Amino acid sequence: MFINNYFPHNMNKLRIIRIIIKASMGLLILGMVFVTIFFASMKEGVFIEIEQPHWVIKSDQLQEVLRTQLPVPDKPMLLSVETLEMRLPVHLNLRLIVIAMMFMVSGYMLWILWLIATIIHDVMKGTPFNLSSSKRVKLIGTLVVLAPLGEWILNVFFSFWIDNRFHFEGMTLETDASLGWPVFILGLLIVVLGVAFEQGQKIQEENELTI
Amino acid sequence: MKKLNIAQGVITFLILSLWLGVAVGTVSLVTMKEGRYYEITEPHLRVQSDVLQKSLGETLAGSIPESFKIRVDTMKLSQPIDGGLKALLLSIVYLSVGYLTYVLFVFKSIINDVRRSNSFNKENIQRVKLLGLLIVIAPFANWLVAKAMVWWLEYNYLFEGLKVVSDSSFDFTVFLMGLIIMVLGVAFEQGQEIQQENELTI
Repeated sequence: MFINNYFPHNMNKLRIIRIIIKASMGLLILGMVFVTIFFASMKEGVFIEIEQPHWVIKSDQLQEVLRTQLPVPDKPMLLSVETLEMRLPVHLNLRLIVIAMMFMVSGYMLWILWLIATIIHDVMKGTPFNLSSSKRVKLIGTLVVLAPLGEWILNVFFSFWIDNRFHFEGMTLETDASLGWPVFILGLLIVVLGVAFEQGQKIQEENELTI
Repeated sequence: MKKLNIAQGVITFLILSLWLGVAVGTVSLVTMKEGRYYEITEPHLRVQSDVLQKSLGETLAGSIPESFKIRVDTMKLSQPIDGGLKALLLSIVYLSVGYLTYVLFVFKSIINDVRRSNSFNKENIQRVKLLGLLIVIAPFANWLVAKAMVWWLEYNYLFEGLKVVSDSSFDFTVFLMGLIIMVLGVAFEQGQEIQQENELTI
């Protein structure tokens, strides 16, 4: 507590960040409950929109036929169909896959948010350099570094599941990854700051021994 | 140390790849013949008109079973390249790469200080805080650029039955990462205080 008295502006910053983190956790839990109820209560056979993965036209012939139906722009410009969105009928397997994937992603995010909240708590108390805090910073870094890989695995699994059931000539299934190398780099940065935290922990221990 | 070496290797590789990419991109864009169609991946167009969607759906229906529904989601546009478009594309690339290079250089300096076990100095703390701020701002900047592109296309072109949309929405994950780096910046300030106390005691 003694240290933060020197930095009252930092305390305000930390309070705002803590509110954002807690609000995100609350919204995430609310979203999980809402999605679960929505999917569980949905009637069998109702078509639901699948945003990812989507279909992409590979056949030039099909692309050309579709292009002739598109409006002609008022200035020189070419339009072509980019992505096709699919709708699948709801059944038990699809319900289970969607709910399981949602729980995995949300659980992962909740874990990271909870770790951030505990670090903020330690920093607000003025005791950030303890063994568990260093471990938490490093764990967040590792989880963030691994997140794009996890997203890729889930996408591959879901694409494989759909591709095995539906196959159309002239079209392929593609997925746009939302987490890419920027998230990986930010994870690395947090890992590096975790190493600095270890150094801080040693300085703190030396300080306590000297006193 | 091994972790730091890997991180430094990745950052150096990324900086070099970015510069190489910019050099190749600039040369290919500058030497591109005027009038050739350039594919714009972002933003794209979405079908608004039900009549158009129905007509496209009927064409697709031929090869799709009844247990499955498909509809055209997005369309990409290609524009003939001219001096204005080249300048616009190059300025967007240079701005983004400049921003990224700056972030990566600041990150590299932080790694250097951590390797020397000199993490809690004034410059390093400022660097961590600056990095947090730059990362928090990035999703807002990205969203603004995407919105500006959408407005520019809507203002200059008329697409009947279509709507200009962008996938570059506000990236909450990056924003969240920026916040945690800001929190760690505050912890670093506390580390500096402890270090100074330690030095005074000794």
